[in-house]
Amino acid sequence: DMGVGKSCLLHQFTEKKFMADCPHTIGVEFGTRIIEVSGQKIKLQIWDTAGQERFRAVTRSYYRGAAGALMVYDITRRSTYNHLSSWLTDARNLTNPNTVKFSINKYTITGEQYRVMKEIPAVIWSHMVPVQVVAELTVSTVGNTGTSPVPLESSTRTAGVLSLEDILSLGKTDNSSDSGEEDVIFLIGNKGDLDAQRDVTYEEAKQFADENG
Amino acid sequence: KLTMSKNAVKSRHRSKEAAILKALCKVPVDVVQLRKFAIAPDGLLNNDIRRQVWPYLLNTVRQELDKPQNVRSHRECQQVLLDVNRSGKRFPPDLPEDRITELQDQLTDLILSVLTLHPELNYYQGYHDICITFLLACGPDLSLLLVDRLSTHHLRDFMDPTMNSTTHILNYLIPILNKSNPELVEYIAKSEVGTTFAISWLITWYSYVLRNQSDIERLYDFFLSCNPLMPIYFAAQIVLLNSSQIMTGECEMSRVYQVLLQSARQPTLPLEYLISKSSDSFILFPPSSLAREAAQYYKNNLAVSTFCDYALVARHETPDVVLRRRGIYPDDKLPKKQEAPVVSLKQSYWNASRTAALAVSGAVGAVVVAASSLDWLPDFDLLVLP
Repeated sequence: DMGVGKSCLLHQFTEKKFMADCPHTIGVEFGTRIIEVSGQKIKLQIWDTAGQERFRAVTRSYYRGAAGALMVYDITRRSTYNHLSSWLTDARNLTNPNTVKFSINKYTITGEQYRVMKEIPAVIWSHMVPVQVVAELTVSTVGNTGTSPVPLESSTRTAGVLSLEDILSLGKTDNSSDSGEEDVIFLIGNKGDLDAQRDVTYEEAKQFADENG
Repeated sequence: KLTMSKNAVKSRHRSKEAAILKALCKVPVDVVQLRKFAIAPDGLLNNDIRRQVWPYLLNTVRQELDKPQNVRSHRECQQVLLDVNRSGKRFPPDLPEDRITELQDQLTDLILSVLTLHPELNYYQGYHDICITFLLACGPDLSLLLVDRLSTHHLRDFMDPTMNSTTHILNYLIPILNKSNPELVEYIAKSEVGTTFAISWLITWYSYVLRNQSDIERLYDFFLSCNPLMPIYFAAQIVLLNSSQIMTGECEMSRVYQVLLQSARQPTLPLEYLISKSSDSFILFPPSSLAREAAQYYKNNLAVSTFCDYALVARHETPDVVLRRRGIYPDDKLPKKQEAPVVSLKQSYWNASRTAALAVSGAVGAVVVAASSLDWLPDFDLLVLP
């Protein structure tokens, strides 16, 4: 939904900087980062869609061919969480069903859940290289506080730099993925630093992720 | 030399300003002349003039609006606030923070007032970008009058419940490009990039992509004087300007998309040149001459053509008597030979309908004319496209 922090996440991923006053996105924006994995350079493309409902008809056509998706909600606004299932429906229906076996993997990620998450014996990575190579995803704050994200280790607050490489190492021990044709969807509960205004609990978000595979 | 040319510009602006003020003093006010000034190089020069001229371009002079009450209880209030609260980057960087807060407050009220006055209008992200432009140039009270008129005319289609009309308007881009550079159109089609890259250009009148407020204001001078489809002609010129960069490299969707997306964001965008080229292109290829191709593209690419093409064309097609080829660029390489018949047809038609067109150009110009053009447009359309 609009204002959950999609563009801010993308900006951090491509520019490694927090963007205060991150403006709305109209239509579809686009970011790339080249990452090295196992000595191979891989260009990761991330399409950043507009959040307002009316743009959905326009953004839908950009789901095609996606290797994975990040679904973002705002932990301080329940409505954004409640809409997740309709976004998920789009993500399932609009990616190419013939070439992609779509399995939903799950993570509700906020800084505070970082440690918890590491302990989840989850089904994650198959051979989705472009998504695996997300090196670090900074789960950040946007809006009210205006604070910059702080690496988890040095912060008592919940905003943190999340190393997806850690998830990657989890994925390596995962032996339940069979064909290498699975897409990955991340669930991201954004604005973890605004915990005082939290409206959606980690537990229920995790349940949502579990229920959806 | 630099000082000399600076002085030359200054004196040119001074005499233009005097001419504009003269047109404003005429009884009745010479709106056709004001349009010409707004389209011509450097537009309306400054915001003092804009505050006087824009109301004539939109025909809101001597209009009054009762400010609606309780606008903050509008159903879109939360959504508007979300966008307004993060619009800080659109305001001049030297403004003090409390002034920005005040402006944002006015912005919220401006948007919600128009939405309250017109329950049929739907807010879209980007609408507030347009409102900011007016607010900064004209202040809250005049902006309400202007934005109210603009929203029920130029922006009306963007404010439908769905984006169908907007998507359709975007498809005019392809036939305009095709007239000037068919090779480019073929390349774009092959890349399957679509026209979404231009959506923010169109629905914010470029205020989402231009960095400089004065550039945005100058462009608004132009758009306010023209047919509501002019922003699409302008988009086509931006794309044409970047055609070599677009076509250099792999014909692959994401690359082409990115080049196109960024092409309007270059800080050195030659606005006056693009305005001139857009005007030329509008005269040579009026919307009616493109309608069929645009509709075709729409059907081919979207398959959900629930929109009545014909009605839209009729609504937007207008004999704009003011817009003339500015021809200030000698290197202008318009393919004259090929277009000659179209121009002459159009010209002769314009002459015939000139009286009618002039009669209403004192009103909202383009838009008001449109209502009365419903009758004659279809025939004209057939004339041009055998």
